[in-house]
Amino acid sequence: MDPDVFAALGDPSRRRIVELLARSPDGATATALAAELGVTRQAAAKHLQVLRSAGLAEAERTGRESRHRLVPTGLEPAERWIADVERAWAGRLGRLRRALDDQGGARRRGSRPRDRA
Amino acid sequence: MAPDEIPAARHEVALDHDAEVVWELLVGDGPARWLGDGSRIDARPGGEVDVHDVETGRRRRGRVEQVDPGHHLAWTWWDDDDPRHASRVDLHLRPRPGGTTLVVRERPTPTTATVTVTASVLGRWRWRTAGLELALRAPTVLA
Repeated sequence: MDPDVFAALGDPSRRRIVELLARSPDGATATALAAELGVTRQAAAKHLQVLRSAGLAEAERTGRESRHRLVPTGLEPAERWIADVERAWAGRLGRLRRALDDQGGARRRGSRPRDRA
Repeated sequence: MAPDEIPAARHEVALDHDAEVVWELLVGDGPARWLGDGSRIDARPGGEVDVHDVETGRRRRGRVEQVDPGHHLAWTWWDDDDPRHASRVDLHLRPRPGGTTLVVRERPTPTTATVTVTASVLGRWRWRTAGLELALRAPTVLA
């Protein structure tokens, strides 16, 4: 797991940048992103730096200003972590349900087993 | 997505029992009956979480963060041998007709560990739609 990916996506402005970059196959400059977000260029550049450190974005120098793009495989560690954790909870909650059912109907709400409608 | 919402694992289950009955299995020695033999959660802020997790085969330790009996239990936990990679678990109990819906969310906690991934190594293929959905995902419902 790469916790930096989660930390990077934990900020609403950075999630917005990810959305904007996803719609810009040719990439976008920090200036353009700043205008879109209504923040300073410096603020946008700082967010992009965090996204780059997390492996979510990359920059390419073309002329006066760098263009930023998403890294397609950047979210894979986070996706794997989420999938693993959700699978584990599916198993745990399945056992929780069985443990509750094993307690018998005495403490169950109502007296009949759940309808199978 | 709420501004404070970090992408998280989410799972929910519809149970045919009242919240008070479900709650008993979440606290004290209750977890031994479904998380793994010997598991226990001392349900008070700062209380110990000690889970012998049959799901992963690993022992997980942690600390209780929030307790609202019958409604909400939250803790932070980590693999016994890897305390730097902790995550936070939030269990919410919601009444539903005939029982309770239990919602679990788990997300990594912010960490000081610096992991540097060089973007150039990762290639530059098209961003996958699946990746975006991760950040904006809808709840998974498994009854």
